[in-house]
Amino acid sequence: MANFFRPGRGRLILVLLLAALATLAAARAPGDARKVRKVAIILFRGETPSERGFLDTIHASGDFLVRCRAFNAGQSTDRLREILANLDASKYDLIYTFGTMATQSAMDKIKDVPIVYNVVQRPIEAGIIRSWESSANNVTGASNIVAMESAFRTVALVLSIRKLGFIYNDQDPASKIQRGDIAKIQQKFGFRILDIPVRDLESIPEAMRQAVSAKLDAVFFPADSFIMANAGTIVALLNKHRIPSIAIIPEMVTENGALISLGPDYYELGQLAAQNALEVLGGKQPAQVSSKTVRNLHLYINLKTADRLGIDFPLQLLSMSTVVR
Amino acid sequence: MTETGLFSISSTETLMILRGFIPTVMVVAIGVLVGKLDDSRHQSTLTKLIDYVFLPCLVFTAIHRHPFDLNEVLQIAVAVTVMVCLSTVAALCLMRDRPGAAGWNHLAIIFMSSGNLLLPLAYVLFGSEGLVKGIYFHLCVLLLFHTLGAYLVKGKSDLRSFFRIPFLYPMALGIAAASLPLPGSENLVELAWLTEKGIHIAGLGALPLLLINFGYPLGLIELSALRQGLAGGALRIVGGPLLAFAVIWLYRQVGWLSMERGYDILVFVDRRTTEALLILGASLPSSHHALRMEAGGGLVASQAESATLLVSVLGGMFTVITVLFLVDAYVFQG
Amino acid sequence: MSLISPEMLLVTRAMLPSLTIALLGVLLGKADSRRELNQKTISNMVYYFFTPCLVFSSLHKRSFDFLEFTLIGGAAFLLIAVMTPIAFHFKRRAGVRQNGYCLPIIFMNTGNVSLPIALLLFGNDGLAKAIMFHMMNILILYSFGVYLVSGKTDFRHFFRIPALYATLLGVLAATTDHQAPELVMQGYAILCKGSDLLAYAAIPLLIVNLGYSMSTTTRMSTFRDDATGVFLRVVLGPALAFGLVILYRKLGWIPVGADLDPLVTLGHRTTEAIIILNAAMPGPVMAYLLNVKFDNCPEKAASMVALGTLAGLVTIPLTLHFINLFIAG
Repeated sequence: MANFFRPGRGRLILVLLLAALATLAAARAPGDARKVRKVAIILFRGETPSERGFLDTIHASGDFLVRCRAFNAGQSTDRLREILANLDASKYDLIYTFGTMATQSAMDKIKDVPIVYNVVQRPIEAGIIRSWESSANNVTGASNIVAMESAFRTVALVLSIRKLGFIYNDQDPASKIQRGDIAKIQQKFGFRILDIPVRDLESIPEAMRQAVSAKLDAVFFPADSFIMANAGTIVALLNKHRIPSIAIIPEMVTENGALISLGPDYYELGQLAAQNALEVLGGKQPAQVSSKTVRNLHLYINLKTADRLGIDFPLQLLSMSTVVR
Repeated sequence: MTETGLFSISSTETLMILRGFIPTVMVVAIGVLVGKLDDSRHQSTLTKLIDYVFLPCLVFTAIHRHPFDLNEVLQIAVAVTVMVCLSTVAALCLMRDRPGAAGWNHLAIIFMSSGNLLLPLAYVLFGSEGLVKGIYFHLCVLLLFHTLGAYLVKGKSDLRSFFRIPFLYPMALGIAAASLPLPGSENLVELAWLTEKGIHIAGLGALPLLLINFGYPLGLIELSALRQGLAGGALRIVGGPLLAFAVIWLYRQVGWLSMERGYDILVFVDRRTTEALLILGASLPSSHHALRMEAGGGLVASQAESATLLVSVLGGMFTVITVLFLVDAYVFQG
Repeated sequence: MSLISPEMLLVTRAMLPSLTIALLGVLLGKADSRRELNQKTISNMVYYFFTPCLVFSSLHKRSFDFLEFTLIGGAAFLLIAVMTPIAFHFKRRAGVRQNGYCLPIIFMNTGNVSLPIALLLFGNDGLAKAIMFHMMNILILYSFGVYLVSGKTDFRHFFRIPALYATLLGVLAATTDHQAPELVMQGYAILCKGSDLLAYAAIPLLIVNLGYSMSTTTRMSTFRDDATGVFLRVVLGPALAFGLVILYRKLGWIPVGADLDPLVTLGHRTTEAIIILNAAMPGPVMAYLLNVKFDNCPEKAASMVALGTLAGLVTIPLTLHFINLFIAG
């Protein structure tokens, strides 16, 4: 041993090299020492900006190597039921669900695997969580809650609305809750509501005929996955008949031509859901992780639709919104 | 916010400002033409129509559709009072009266055209929210005019004249209508709405009439008198917005118009609209009221005061649009 | 049909806002006992500035079909042409000398009342057709109508009518495909905005002025003549229109039978309905404006326009009922 450490340049270099190699070996690339976790992603209508936010944040984690498997119901409630029936939840460390319907369905079946929900408008009213601070069950997540009054006031700045159409999927419990919220502000703002329920693709044309013949002042779209998935067809028809549309989901404005929306940044929402997921994967119980909402709502305006409908937006709204031309 | 540059001609905000400002200037120019065609003999017809029919309709429909917020009124009232008081001090210190002028020129410097110009501009640029704030602004200016303004020139305030302003009462009615619950009967609601629709249409008619009323007497003022009004006019259109920016800065510091975005962006938008309206109002040219008070029902007053008005109008065409761009850059997008 | 039919409610809804504005004018008139308001100033402003802007604003945004305009505009022209000698004959019998008396009989209020009803009952297609009828009506009103009341036979006067140019410009703008540099288009948009702003004042100022005139007591001695004039307008008008529609059918200009495409059939029936509906409208407020401008019995014009508007509350729903029965049925 003493011979080994006898001063000598060559041996010193060798020792240093060995030490360096040992250090490098210890500092392994991220992921290699990360714990592997499996997450099932249950989607109702395919990947949205929310999922992108969720996945980007999850994959950037330094603690976990998360392997995700996506199950897409393709807007079909039957398919959703089938996915959940065949899902072996025990194989996963966490279940991610999109929307109220998927979350409620998952909760019915899965009791002992944590569930992280995303894009659920009214998680308390939907019976998903007991309170924002604690769910008192195996669920936590991020909500895209928007006060209906705020959403209505947005469009009341530019339009006088006496007859408002409410298009919703009558199979989605979240839409019914939002309908109840609209009814509460009805008296305050002095307008009437015409319910226009749709339940499947076949019912859309008839619903649109109803909306057009009713000579509505505007149509309101709640946060509804089915409506969102078919927004292109619905909004195009409304624009053709010069009926303004108000949305909560920004994509309906940016991609489908709805007039205005007031809602959260969905990518940011996905990031919040991912933060909750990482806390749960780290060992916390879902009931210990409070549900989150975004800090700010954003306004989106489609100027092309506004021009078509002959609506002039005031300068302050244009300057402070994301304007799509 | 749009992707194109802030002062690019194709940016949405620039276009909005131009589309709002230039047409109002055009209509004022038409008012000048109407005055010249009419030999400027019948402004009282215009004024009566506006004061007794159209402006009350505009005020009623704007106010009753907007939830009443005392805070909002106070913010505007305090800002207007501060600006008018400081303008008064500046005018008294910087502008010497002509002998026997008894402070008339000061009125043209202190008080801005908060009715004829601000209301249409506020509506066109800032929508119905801007119009409501403009109405509160106008009311405060009128109150100060009939108190402080009257005191400056007559030695005593004239509050009774203030209470004879016709639109005060529809305004009170509008506030009451906004605050009371809707009647239960649907037929009654329908009838009220249809009646209100007629009043609303009449109210919209006030917008161009106000602008025409503003332009009507301008054709009488001789351009040769411009020099006399240079200092006063410049003080009005440059000093005004500077004061307003200072007041806004103060409001932000004390938290009265917080910059906190908060959850509901509409609250934030509302605060910024208040700021924008205050700045716009403060930057407008001189008011007719000053001249009408002196002229005692005649058309225009003496040359110096008229010159101040004219200078503020001509200069205001450049300063007001500059102020609008600044408002967009530093208030809405800042 | 019940006493208060849906059609009557519809018409009432369309007219109530205008009646509210007229009431404001009446109240102003009552308050202005010394008659200090100069109505000439008001009518000049409306004639030279507000109305041309209103006409331009309402026309330039619409689409335009020349063939359909020929059919519908032609119907408007024919109805006006047939009503003109009838109105003059009645004027002579009533012992009235001024031609302005005939204006509220010959021409129709195809703007304020007709357009909203057309939209509500017949949709966007109905509205588009009603606008075509309206275009022809105002074109003739602002040419022939002005000639009648001004008494000027000099043809050059025709070219001094502002609304005429506004109509032509509006139709030109509606039919031109807008392909110009961005700067030019933005300048055009700014001008249109200015026009829209001025247009706001046209209708309310007119109706307030009308109400102001009505605030003076109507002499009962002329009531019978005024009522007869109104009768010609709101009863004979639609009757003539029914006759014209039958003629169009006989000539094959509007096919009677159902087309392979039900939408085409619906379009034909809508055309017929719009012609009859517009012919049932009371005298236009614009006619009153011209009478004031040229000092051509404005009081009688005001009286007939007001009476006609009130009578329309009954006659228009009746006309709609008959349209339903004979055209749509």
